[in-house]
Amino acid sequence: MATQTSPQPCWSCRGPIQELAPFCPTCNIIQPPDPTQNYFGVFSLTPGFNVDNKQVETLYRELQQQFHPDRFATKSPTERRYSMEHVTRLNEGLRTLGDPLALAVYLLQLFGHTVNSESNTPSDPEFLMEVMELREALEDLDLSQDDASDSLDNMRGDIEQKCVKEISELNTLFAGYFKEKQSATLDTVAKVVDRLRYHNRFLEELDQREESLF
Amino acid sequence: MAYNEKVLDHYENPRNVGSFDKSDDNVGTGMVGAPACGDVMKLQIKVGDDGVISDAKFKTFGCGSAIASSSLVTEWIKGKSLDDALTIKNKDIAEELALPPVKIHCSVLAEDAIKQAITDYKKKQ
Repeated sequence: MATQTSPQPCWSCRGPIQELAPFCPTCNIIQPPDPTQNYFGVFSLTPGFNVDNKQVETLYRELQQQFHPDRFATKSPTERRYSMEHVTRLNEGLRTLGDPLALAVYLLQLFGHTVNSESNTPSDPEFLMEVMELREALEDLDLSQDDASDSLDNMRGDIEQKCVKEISELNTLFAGYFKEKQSATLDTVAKVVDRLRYHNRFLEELDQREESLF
Repeated sequence: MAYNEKVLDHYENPRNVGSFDKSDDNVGTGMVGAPACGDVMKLQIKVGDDGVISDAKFKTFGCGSAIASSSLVTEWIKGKSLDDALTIKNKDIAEELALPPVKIHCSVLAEDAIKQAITDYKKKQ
């Protein structure tokens, strides 16, 4: 996935740098992050949808320690900048790998599948109607009623279940794609991603309404 | 982000919010969504025997620009023939509301909603 380029020498001592090495083996100085390396590479993980969140967090903490700006506070501006760049990339990586929706979108990007998010695919009006009805039900909910909190919990439970189903669908689809590399699979992935996004958005909306209860 | 005055006006006083019975043969329903943000928009038209849109209603769950775009087009299409309503372009909506580039897709949504509502109505005839 990452295109291999011949590595630049160390910016400081001009010594040779092993591919993707974050520190120079000669002078041990920090190197800039390699822009061709994807998040899986950054975390030394095999690319896939089935990411172990605990493992990602452990790796994140280890890497975070290596690159933390505190360790470079007394170093040159260039080193401080590189440390910031590494840490920023780690944070973005954690956010992406740790969130199924973001991860699915990222994988689609890596595989060169264009996610045409600006087009308003009228593909599935029935699904949109369902979303509309959900949003209406949420809007019509009378929060002054004693059971409002229960109603919200029920709605959340229903939709969270749908999200779980969608995430497991994505898992199966991506596993299939890694085996067979059928681009049609990615089209299906993109559709499930859309649904997941609508449901996530609904849950955000629900959280906001719930906050107004207290 | 600072919203344009017209957007704010439609956002604070949306025109024609509501629903018609979508099984009514004189009603056309357009359902569109923006997967990028999870917004949904429903636009409905009621068409008289003379083929003129006599009434329009909308319901939008989305940002201020999406609400303003749909509110504005319900006003525009009332009293128009179906063919005239189809000439409304997202550019007209975006210009009227002075939408910034990142919000252009909201006006596209509204244009698509009109088209779909008209298609739905024609299918029933």
